Amino acid sequence: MTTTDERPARRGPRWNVDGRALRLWTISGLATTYLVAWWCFAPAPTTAPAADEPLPAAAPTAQVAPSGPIPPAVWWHDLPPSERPAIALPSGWVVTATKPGDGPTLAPAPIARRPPARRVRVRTRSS
Amino acid sequence: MVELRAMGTTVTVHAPTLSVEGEAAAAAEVGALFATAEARFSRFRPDSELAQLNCATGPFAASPAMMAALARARAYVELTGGRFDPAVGGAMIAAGYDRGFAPGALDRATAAAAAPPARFADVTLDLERGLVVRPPHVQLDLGGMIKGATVDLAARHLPEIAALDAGGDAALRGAGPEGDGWYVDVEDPADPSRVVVTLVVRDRAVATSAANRRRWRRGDAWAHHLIDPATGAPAATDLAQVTIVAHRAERAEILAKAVFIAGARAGRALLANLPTIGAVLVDHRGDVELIGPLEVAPDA
Repeated sequence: MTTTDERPARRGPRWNVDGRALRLWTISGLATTYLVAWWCFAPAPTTAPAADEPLPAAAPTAQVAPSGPIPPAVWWHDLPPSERPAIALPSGWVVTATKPGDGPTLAPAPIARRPPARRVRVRTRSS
Repeated sequence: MVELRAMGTTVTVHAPTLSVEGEAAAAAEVGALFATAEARFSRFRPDSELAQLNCATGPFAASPAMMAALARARAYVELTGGRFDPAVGGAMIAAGYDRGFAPGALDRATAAAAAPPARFADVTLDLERGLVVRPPHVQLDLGGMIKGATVDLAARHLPEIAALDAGGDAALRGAGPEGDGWYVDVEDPADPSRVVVTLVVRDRAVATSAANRRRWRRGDAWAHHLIDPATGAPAATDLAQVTIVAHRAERAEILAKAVFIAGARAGRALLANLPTIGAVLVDHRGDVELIGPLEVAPDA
């Protein structure tokens, strides 16, 4: 019997990539490096508020309507006079109607004013 | 703005802070005050107190209003160095001004007569007893001050911002309807359609004297109502018009007449002693001179 060294069969290269795959890997690597570098060193966006800029006031907390059935809305002048709530009007305002047949509405009280006149000039002369 | 007739001229009341009805009521009150003054001080109404004083042959018991006016007149005679003198009534009549003025009504074909000399200093005022003693040759004429005095009196019945104009003698209360003063156009005596200067006036009175309106023909010459007490004749002066701005219309009216009669040079000397008085002098060439504290309107 002939003794021969049985050597394991020679394997091929571990990373057996062809030229096309190599280009893809190279491009992917460069792109990843660029993105990581840009993310780390890029300047802050200009729309960000400056450090010494006062922050806007916080919006008031919204009132959350209580849950439950919504009360029916009704015009003040549609209520019977006995059920109309008292309303404190601003000074100089009255309840009036915009035209005959309309319900009352709020309007400034009429103030008697004269139309603006052109500058008054006094003429002095011998009389 | 409300207009009414009084003292032979148009009286205008302008009270911009009042309603139309309120302004009309104020004008009615002004009209009543003018009517009262005219009834007392008119030289042409035979029932006036002044006419009765001019007819009195002995001591005349004058009303407090008449005594006060005569006392002020005496002070003005002194202030103006005699260029204002209410004793010119006789000279007025001699010049032809013997009735209420209307254009053409006083024209005469004959020349004016000479007037007897008269001085207000010849009139005795007894202020304590309210008596006036007038020499027979003295006829008093208070027309040179009563219109201004009545403007002052009536203006006190108007709101703080108001104008009261009586034929060019005006009281201007407050700073005007727009707060930047009352604009007062000074008429050109040579052309009444033109204005020589526009003044801005606050809380002051204005009055103007000229011989271009109240004048009449005497023979071949013109006569006018601005009598020079020194000559007893209508003043011959190098000034065509004088406008005075003062605190009171009475003082403005008297000084306007006095400076007009004095002429430019003596008028400047008179005004130099009155630093609170503003004046606009217009001579016969049309030259305009501003004297004293005056504010000219920016658009003038």
